[in-house]
This record gives sequence, C-alpha cells and structure tokens, in this order.
Amino acid sequence: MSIDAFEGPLDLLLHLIKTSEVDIYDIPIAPITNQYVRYLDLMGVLNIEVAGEYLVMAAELGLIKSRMLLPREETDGDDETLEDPREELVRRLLEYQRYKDVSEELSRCDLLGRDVFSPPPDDDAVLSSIPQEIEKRDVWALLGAVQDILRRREQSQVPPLSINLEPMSLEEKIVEIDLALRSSGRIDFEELFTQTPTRFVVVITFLAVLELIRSAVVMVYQEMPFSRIELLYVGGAAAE
Amino acid sequence: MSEERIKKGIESIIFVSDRPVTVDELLKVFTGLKRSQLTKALAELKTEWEELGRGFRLEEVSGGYRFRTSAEYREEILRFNQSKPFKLSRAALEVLAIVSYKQPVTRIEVDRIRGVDSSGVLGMLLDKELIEVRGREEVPGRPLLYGTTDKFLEVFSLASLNDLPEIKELDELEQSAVEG
Repeated sequence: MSIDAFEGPLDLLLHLIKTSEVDIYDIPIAPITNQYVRYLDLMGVLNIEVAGEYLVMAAELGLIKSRMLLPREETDGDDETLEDPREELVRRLLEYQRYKDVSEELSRCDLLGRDVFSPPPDDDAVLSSIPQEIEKRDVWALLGAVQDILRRREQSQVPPLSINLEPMSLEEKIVEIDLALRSSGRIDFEELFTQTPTRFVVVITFLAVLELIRSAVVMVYQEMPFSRIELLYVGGAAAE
Repeated sequence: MSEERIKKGIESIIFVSDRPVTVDELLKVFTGLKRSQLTKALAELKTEWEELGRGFRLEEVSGGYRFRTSAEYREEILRFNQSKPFKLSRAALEVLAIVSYKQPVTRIEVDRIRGVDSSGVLGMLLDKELIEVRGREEVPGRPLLYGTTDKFLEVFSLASLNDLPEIKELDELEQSAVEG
C-alpha cells in the first residue's frame, strides 16, 4: 500500500523544521536527520511504502551531517567564505515553500465545480472527476498518534494478550470499527487501541481507519494540533 | 440597434454559451459595432447583474464572460448534483502553482522543485486540460514544455494570468528572514 502524509522529502523536512521550531537558516542537522529517519522507520513498521526520493534525501542528510562535523575553514584565502554544507538544501526548501504558499492561495480561489458553477453542468466535470485523496494533515495526525501508541506499547511491561489466536483480517477490522462508530457516532482514535494490541493489530487498525476515511464513511477531527483525535461517523449520508 | 437591445443580445449569447464569451467572438456577431462599444456594454452588464444580487452573476474569467453562481450557494448545488464537497489534492495544486508561474516549464524542473516525481500529476492535469504542452525545450533530450490553459483560468476564476496570487521573490524571503 502506498500512502503518504507528505508530498515528498522536502515537504517532510519543512514540517519537521516547523514543528521543532528551528531556524531554517541554521538547521540543526543532526536532530532533524534523526527525526527524519524515525519517520521512515515508522513507515517501515506500518508497512507503508515511501517513494525512493525519501531514501535519497536520507542519504543527502547523512552527507550534510558528516560535512558539518568536519572542521571547516571560514575562508579559502581569497576572503570568500566556503559554502555552508546546508546551503543548497536550504535553497531548495525555500523554493519549495514558495510554491507551497502559492498552492495554498490557489486552493482558496473560487473553483469551478467546487464553489461556483456554470451551465451546462458538463463543464463542472473537470474537477469532480479528479480522484480525491485523503487530507494529508489527517494522515499525519493519525501517524503521530500511532507512533505514540507503538512507543507506549514498547515501554509497557504487560505482554500483549494472545488468547485470541484468530488473526483478524483488514476487512474484519474495518467492519468492527464501522459498527462501533455507527452506534456511538464518534470515538476517540486512541480508544481503538486500549486492549494492548499486538503490533500487527495496531497496523491493521490504522489501515482500517484510513480505508474508512477514504470511502468517506469516517471523518477525522482534531481540535488543535496534538490534541486528541476523534473519528466521526459520516457514513449515513454517503451510504451506497 | 439601441444600447439596451445590444446588451440583451450579448446577455442571451452568454446565457447559451458553454464557455466564456470573448469580445472577439462578439465582434463577429455584432459586425457593425466597435470593440469599445462591446467592452462598455459588457462592463455595464456585469455591474447590472451585480446590483441585481441574484444567485448567479456575470463574471469575467479567462478573457471572456460567463454566468456563474455565487459561492454562497455551493451547498445547495452540490446537494442537487449529489456530489460530495470536493478537494483538489495538494500535489495537483503544487504542480499547478509551479507550472502557472514558471511556464513554459519541463517535468524535470517541476520534479526538482517538489523533490518528487510529478509525472503522474502532470499526466492527470494534462488529461483534465488544466495544462497543455507548449513545445519542447531545445536541449539534449528535447523535453516537453508545459503551460496552463484557458480552462485553468476558468476553473480558478481568474480573468488572466495577471490575477495569479502574488508570489514572494526568493531574495525577498531571505531578506525578511535575515531581518526578522
């Protein structure tokens, strides 16, 4: 399965820089690289493919990191400062950020087929026929929560109960969550994980939730970044 | 022909057209009239429709005029069409942002800025006619050059490329960061 919370390595880096509240003009390469690699690890654990470009970037970060460790001469005799090993990366990040900002502005325009409409209706088909994706922000929020859950699982002394040896399939998990939501209307994302599940169950639960979001049965709600995540049942309206 | 008669004629044409109506097209219809007369009539029509305050109005998009509903009524229309509220993916928006500002631009350049392979998104946008091929760059490999279409302007409710949102210059960004 291929899904991503970010548009690419530059997007991920910008996100890490922003949430760590570091200065983009003086990036602490070592901690940022660590966070970056941990994200790739999490993807691995969740059996989610990442584009090759992420791995290329990991290597580049490693290279920059090692260059930063080497003693650098401030000038090369001609009174010109040698390039900071991070400079190229920062340039790329800034350029990407520039276009990300523009794309934000574009999304706020009145879109034909989404906000405004014209006769005949066939014209509106342009936008409505473009396949939609899950909101990246939602995916990232869920990933963050899953990461916490996995970490707590590692730290807790209680071994996962394996009385029920019947492996659950993704479909069964989807049905289970769907039923739970149908009756209660909303549920905390974390509640889906209260019975010290095995890592396998954690992964399946996460994928099941993604599938439910994708089919517009469930919506993610998070009042503020890092506050608890709620899943809302919206399936009734879209029932097919 | 009286001014009012002309305006109503233009209005009817715009009503039945399936894409924005340009002054050039109107010149072919109203052969006796001057460009300035048509432009004036269109401007008056636009104002009159605005003042009427109806559920839809006359908008200038993509170098022409078209009737479009007000964004205020999108919920009703979506419900009527039985479509779900729609979102353009961030990838599509990023590629459109790059193409609209840097056109004509190659796929390689788009990939370089985004840091990921964008061929899938480019293909989709080509398919939807939001971008088009403008030619080839005269370098080894002769890669295709892309630019935005009139349809892009129409979908994003822009009268022309001049109405694209302001973009901060790279040096401006660096400048403000140094000072800030």
